[in-house]
Amino acid sequence: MADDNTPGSSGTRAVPSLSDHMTPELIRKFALRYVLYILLLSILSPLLFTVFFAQGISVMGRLFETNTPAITRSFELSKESAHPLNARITIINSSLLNPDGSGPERHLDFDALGVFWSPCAFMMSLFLASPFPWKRRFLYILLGIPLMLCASYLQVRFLIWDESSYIGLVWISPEWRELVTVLRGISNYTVDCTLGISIWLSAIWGYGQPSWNNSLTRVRKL
Amino acid sequence: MSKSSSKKRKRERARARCSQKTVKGTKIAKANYRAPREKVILWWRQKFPGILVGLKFMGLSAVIYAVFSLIFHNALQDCLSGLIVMTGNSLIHVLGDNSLRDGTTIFSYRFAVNVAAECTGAETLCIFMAAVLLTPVTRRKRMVGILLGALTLIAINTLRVTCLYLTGAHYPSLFPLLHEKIWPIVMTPMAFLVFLGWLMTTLPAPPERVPCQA
Repeated sequence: MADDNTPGSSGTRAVPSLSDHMTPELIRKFALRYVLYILLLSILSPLLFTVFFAQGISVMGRLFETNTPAITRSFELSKESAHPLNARITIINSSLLNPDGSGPERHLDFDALGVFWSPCAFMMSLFLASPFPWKRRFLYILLGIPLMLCASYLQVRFLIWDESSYIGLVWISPEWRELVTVLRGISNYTVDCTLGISIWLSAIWGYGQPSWNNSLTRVRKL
Repeated sequence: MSKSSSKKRKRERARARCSQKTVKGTKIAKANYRAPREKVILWWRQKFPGILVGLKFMGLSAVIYAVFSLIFHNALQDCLSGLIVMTGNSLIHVLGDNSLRDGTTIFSYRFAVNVAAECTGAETLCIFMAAVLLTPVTRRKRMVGILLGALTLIAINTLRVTCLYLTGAHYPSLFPLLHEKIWPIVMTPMAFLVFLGWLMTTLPAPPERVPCQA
């Protein structure tokens, strides 16, 4: 990786990171490739979702399910990926159920493709367009996807907690309610829009640094 | 003796002690003395250069978004929606369709679109602003970048609203697909592309590479 043609460089010197030699040409190429990959992934989204992600999300959905004397939570994923809200989590306050089975119930409907897949596709297109060797690109994607899914999982957990407050499972005072609403917006915004960029920035800024290379070598050996 | 002078003496003694410590046979110069906090920051920067930048970006954009949603929510929404509806309606007229506007709505006997808070594109503006603020350029360039970038993003959002209205009016069956699937995918990357465009115009020309003399 060392660029020995640059003045003052030696074999042991730290290689400048990508951020140190960004040129308009490099950015132009990156932008074009990025548009190409985001378009490709967006077109392929329904197919990729049905083939790979639907199974994974069904498994992940089980993590949201619970059945205790106080709470019943179930997760359903519609096979129809084109439907805008294809995932539903039903939360029931079992302790307040009437003898006929009716009682406080809350539905959390969301777009599984948008919540779990779109942020991953966004991050993937950023890495695929970056001027790294292909091995590195796939390594970063492999490291990034679990992080993104983890964040999406926590986001849905937060939504479940918020929704539970409407059926008496959690108590949120009116003053805190406003803050929770703002936090809900921020969490949606962070996971959907900025987390992918942050992971990509972390990788691109550290690229070429000795400490970064060492840690990646360790990850590859796992 | 005052407290401040005794503190000063203590600090000088600590520096003197530090300058006498040896690391691999070389003396650490007095000028190299760093406070523990500085040491931690330096260590973090050397060890995790990228993670710090990523976290800074995420934190800054979340703070900007929170400020927008807490403080400027109503004012910003009214201002942005009004601007988008006004320009969007004019654009629809230029394209040969007759529409009217009322508050945050563009409507005709065929179709109506309401520019709600989520449709103003505040998220894309926050991403763009955070990225520009984190770029190491002069304050003037940053201000110009934020202003021009914001105008570009508002213009793109106006195009989105116009496109949605025209699709709803002429091809209603395509409206849900465009509104729910295609435009959301386009808008966030658009902020990123506008930022890259700004970066390309702001970056200085790369220095010429001179081959190293053997």
